[in-house]
Amino acid sequence: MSLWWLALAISTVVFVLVVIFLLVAALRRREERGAPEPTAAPEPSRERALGRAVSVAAALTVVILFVWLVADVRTGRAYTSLRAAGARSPIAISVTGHQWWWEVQYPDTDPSRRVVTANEIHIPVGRPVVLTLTSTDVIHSFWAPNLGGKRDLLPGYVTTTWFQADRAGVYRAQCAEFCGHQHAHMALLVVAESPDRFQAWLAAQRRPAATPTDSLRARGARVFLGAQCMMCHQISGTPAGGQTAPDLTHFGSRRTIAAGTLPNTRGNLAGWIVDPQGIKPGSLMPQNPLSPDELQALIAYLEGLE
Amino acid sequence: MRIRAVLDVHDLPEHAFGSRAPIWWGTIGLCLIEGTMFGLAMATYLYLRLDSRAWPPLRTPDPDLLLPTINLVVMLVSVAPMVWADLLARRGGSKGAVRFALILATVLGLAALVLRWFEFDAFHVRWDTNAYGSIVWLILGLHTAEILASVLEDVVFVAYTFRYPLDEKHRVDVSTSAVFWYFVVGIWVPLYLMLYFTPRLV
Amino acid sequence: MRDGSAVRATTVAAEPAVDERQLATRHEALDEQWRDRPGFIGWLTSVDHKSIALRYIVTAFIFFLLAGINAGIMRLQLARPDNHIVGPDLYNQLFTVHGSTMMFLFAVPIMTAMGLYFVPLMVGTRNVAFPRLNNFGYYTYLTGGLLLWIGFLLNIGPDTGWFSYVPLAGPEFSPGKRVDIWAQMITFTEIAAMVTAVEIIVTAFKQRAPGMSLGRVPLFVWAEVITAFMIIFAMPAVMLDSSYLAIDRLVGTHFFNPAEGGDVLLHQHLFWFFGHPEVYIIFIPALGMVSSIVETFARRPIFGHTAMVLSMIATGFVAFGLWVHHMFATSIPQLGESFFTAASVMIAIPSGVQIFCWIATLWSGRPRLRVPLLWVIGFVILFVIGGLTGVMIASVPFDLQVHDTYFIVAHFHYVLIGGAVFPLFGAFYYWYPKLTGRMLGETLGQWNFWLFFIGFNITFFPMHLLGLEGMPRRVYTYPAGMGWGGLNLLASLGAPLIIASVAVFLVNVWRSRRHGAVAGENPWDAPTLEWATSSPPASYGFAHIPVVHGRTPLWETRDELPVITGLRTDCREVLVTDVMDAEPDHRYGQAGPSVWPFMLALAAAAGIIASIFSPWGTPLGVVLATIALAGWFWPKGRERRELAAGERT
Ligand code: HEA
Ligand code: HEA
Ligand code: HEC
Ligand code: CUA
Ligand SMILES: [Cu+2]
Repeated sequence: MSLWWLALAISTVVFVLVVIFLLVAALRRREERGAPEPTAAPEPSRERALGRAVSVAAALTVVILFVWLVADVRTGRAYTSLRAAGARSPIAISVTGHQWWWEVQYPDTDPSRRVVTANEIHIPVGRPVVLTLTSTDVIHSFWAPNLGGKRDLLPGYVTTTWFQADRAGVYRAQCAEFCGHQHAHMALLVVAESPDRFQAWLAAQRRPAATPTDSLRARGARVFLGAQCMMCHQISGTPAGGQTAPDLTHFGSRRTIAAGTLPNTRGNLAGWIVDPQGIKPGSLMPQNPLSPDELQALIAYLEGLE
Repeated sequence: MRIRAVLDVHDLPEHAFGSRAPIWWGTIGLCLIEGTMFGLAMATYLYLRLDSRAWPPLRTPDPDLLLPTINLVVMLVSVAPMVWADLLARRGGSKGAVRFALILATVLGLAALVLRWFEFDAFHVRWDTNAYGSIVWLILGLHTAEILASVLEDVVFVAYTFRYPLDEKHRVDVSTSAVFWYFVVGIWVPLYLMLYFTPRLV
Repeated sequence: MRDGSAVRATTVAAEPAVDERQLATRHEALDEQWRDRPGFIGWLTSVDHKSIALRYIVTAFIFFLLAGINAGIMRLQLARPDNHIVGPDLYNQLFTVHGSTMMFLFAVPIMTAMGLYFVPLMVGTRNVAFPRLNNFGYYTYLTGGLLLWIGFLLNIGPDTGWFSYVPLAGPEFSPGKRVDIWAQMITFTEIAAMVTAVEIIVTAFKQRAPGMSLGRVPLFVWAEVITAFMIIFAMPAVMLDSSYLAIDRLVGTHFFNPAEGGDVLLHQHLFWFFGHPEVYIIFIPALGMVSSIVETFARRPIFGHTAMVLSMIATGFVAFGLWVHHMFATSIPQLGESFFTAASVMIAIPSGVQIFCWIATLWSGRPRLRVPLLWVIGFVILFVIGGLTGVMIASVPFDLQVHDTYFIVAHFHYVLIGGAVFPLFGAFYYWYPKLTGRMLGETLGQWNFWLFFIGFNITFFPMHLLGLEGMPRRVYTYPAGMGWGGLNLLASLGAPLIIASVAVFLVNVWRSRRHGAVAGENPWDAPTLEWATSSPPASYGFAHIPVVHGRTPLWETRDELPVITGLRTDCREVLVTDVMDAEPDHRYGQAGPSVWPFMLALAAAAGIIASIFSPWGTPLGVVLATIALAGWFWPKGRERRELAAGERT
């Protein structure tokens, strides 16, 4: 990021110069013993010399600031033109902020091909991605530090941001606008992968939830539908159609639990389901008193939702 | 340090009117604060309007014109007795005359308050109907508070003149409180135009 | 009064120096008129700008300590990753109350209070223009502060950040009374600030000593006046904004509700239209303090006096044109972005010019490196760092990376603490002798300075790096895997040094009150009029109002002070002069102590606090305030007797 290096260079030079002049000025003709008589009317010729020095410094300031402004505008332009270039065939994703998780949608003209997931975005490497951002509760801000700058998710507005990953990998993104209790735990993973793997992922996500294959998982599904889970969560292909919480249709394929708070492991999942408030105090998911074997089954079921 | 007297001020007057008096500057300061507030309230109105496809929003009719216009006229007329009180105060008019002018202004101010009560209905919207309702009620409410403050001040003044003589200090006060009234009426003109006429422009 | 020009007051032909005994009786007569009433009643009724300003200063400093304790707890929590000393609910209150207190209850009031104390003395008058209003202002401010802190201690402190963005702060997502407390605290403190602003402007415009034409007004007074104007134009925005918020919450208006035509960005625009000028409201008085200190300790008048004044005015103007730089991430049209970037960058020019002028002043003077000057040197170093990061984040592509990260936290602590708190401490050391009659200790002062300077950099420099590494602000904890632990620990280790430094300062203040070296009138041999009074100044300020012939009056005539005569000593009379040239215009008898300003403050408090709970609070407040105002206005005691006497003759 050349803008950063320019900023650092300018700042270092300006800072060093100011400090040198300041210290020299303060120390060079110090007068500690007794108070020297003050000069009410300094000598005009010296004043003119000082005036010239100050003017030169001020002029330099103007020049430096101008350079900085030009660099700023050029970086801004470069960004805009890249975006324009990218706009030809971008991947479009819409992200909706919720307290404290991210709803992710891959829109499609055919509603049955639409993909809904949460807290994880998959993108193909080398293709520009346009995010359409909004929020249904408070303001959040999408920020993937290694992919680009922030963009707020504002209720009542639709904003967009744009980025492109040139290397495969998992990039962490997080909410950057204070949004209440669990603002600290509102992260999101951006998984950049090869176009083939991306397409495969997308195809998998389009399928409804995997039907339980063994009895433990079948029991888990019944627990899920019998407990209050389905009032909030959706698992497509089942009666669970809640809209106020992350879609769990392919939860088993996700890397984290609760917006990047915990890695998606068995133990963590159990801990989360039983006591989300202990892990993410203030979170909008209530505690769920379940018997150990119910929990066992439920976890097996959720893990199977690949 | 030794001191040396170089200037004697004992024959300067003890009171002065207009921009010579500190209290006048204080009043101008108050007007600047209130004026900024109303300016920003107008900005809010226009900003909210940008967000809205229809203005006033759907199902809200345009505001009435008759009553608000009458009220505007009442306020404008009330400036006359205030100017008169101001002039009398400055020119050493008798206490009775100043009081009479103040009473006239107070009565007109009260009339404006009563009309204002009904003026809220002219918008056919409640403060909690939509954002349009919120901002028009707010502007109306703020301005009503200004009128109320002015009128109360006048009432206290009138009461004062029944009890005490009108000395120089209080003459200056009459004159500066007039300045505030000019402001209250003056600021209403752009607010009135904005509230009642801009919805009628496309 | 240009020398020799005709004035309406009579020029006295060199009357010989006034003799001692005459002077003593004069002091007594004046004190009789001007002193506060004794005891508790005196507290409630005081109209002396010095007592009131001192109260402001002490109160604001206590709020600084309290908010500093909050900061200490936050640093404790953030010292390690995944820490659980405080939970999110408390942490959110901690930083909200920390930020709100530092901004609204500490920085702004203490900066304007320094003006309330010193502007009248520096312009050579006996009191501020509206002494009773001043008292009202203080109590209003105090109520606002108590409201916030009592709420916080009862665990209903606001928790939505010092700028309380909606809809998070709106009725739906912040039920309860927390945000209402925040909104009404704003109302209180802004009323107080606006009152103070009017006081300072009118005092500086109309009560300057004869001869102090605009060109001779000290830079500190300019700084306070410019600040006061900024308050007048900026504070109404936040008053209006917090009122929208309060009534959205209380009576269901829809200013910020997108579902009913409201707009969430409206709040941000209004808040930052105030909020950006706010930071310069804090900063510009500090510039004035720096100029005072540099002038005295460089032993020469400030180089480029006019350039300094123009720079401050330019800063004041431009400050109203950059509020959007706090909102770059909301997606502002590109043209707008460039405009606000350019404006933000432009403001570096006047800041730079001032720094260059101070350096030039020191360069060509004979600096005495005493503690106040030390703070000034610290100020320049830290402020330049903070200013430079400010210029960086004014660039949109740059800001979108570091917005709402610890880089911003670092920026604003560098400018707020380096740019405002350092000068303030310098000012404490500089003016303490005037406030108390005794000097603060030099050695403790050195400790105070170095501990703060070192501790500050250890605390806040790492935050730049944390921000660049992606640590967002306002998080109550962070995962261990992010690798932010080390730098956070370092930052947390710096905080105790700051605490130690502040403790040293408190000790110094306490000890010096009794045991400091006796200061005398003008211990630093400084040039401005506040040093022509006794230390601490008498209730009436000056026995004789001085006459001014230049920018550094006490350096121009070193053994003799030209003064005026003819002000009455049997009432609270001040001299009113004209705005441009300070030519004597008239004399004016000010109001004395009264309990009604306090009553009015109580009435306002009742109304505003009641309106947290019910819409009827407002009419209640109006009725009570009307009664209080009528009481205030109605002649009593001496005024009544005089009026009656006037009627008889
Ligand atoms: C005293 C308070 C103070 C001061 C003086 C400043 C000064 C400046 N600030 Fe700062 N600012 C804050 C307090 C302050 N700020 C606060 C509290 C916030 C955060 C609020 C929040 O979100 O909570 C903030 C946030 C903030 C932001 C928003 C960041 C974000 O949220 O993403 C921006 C963006 O442009 C900004 C810019 C600037 C600039 C350009 C200056 C300029 O005025 C600086 C000018 C000074 C200099 C540049 C140094 C001296 C000059 C020279 C030595 C000349 C040579 C220099 C050059 C050639 C460059 N500030
Ligand atoms: C003038 C303003 C000012 C000042 C002086 C400070 C001073 C300090 N600030 Fe703060 N700060 C803000 C203004 C200020 N701050 C603002 C506006 C915010 C944003 C809030 C928000 O996001 O909403 C903020 C936010 C903020 C954060 C970010 C919180 C977050 O985003 O999660 C942090 C974190 O470290 C912090 C730390 C500190 C520290 C360690 C100090 C230290 O310098 C404090 C030093 C003072 C003391 C330590 C007091 C010492 C006390 C004693 C010695 C008392 C003992 C004795 C007796 C009681 C008798 N501040
Ligand atoms: C009242 C609503 C509600 C109920 C009932 C509820 N949840 Fe949740 N759940 C949520 C919310 C809200 C979140 C997002 C929490 C967060 O990240 O802050 C969530 C998150 C989750 C997650 C993590 C999802 C992800 O992608 O990170 C899982 C798994 C989960 N819930 C499972 C369950 C199970 C199993 C049950 C029933 C036993 C259940 N939930 C009941 C609201 C609910
Ligand atoms: Cu969502 Cu912070
Ligand atoms: Cu700013």
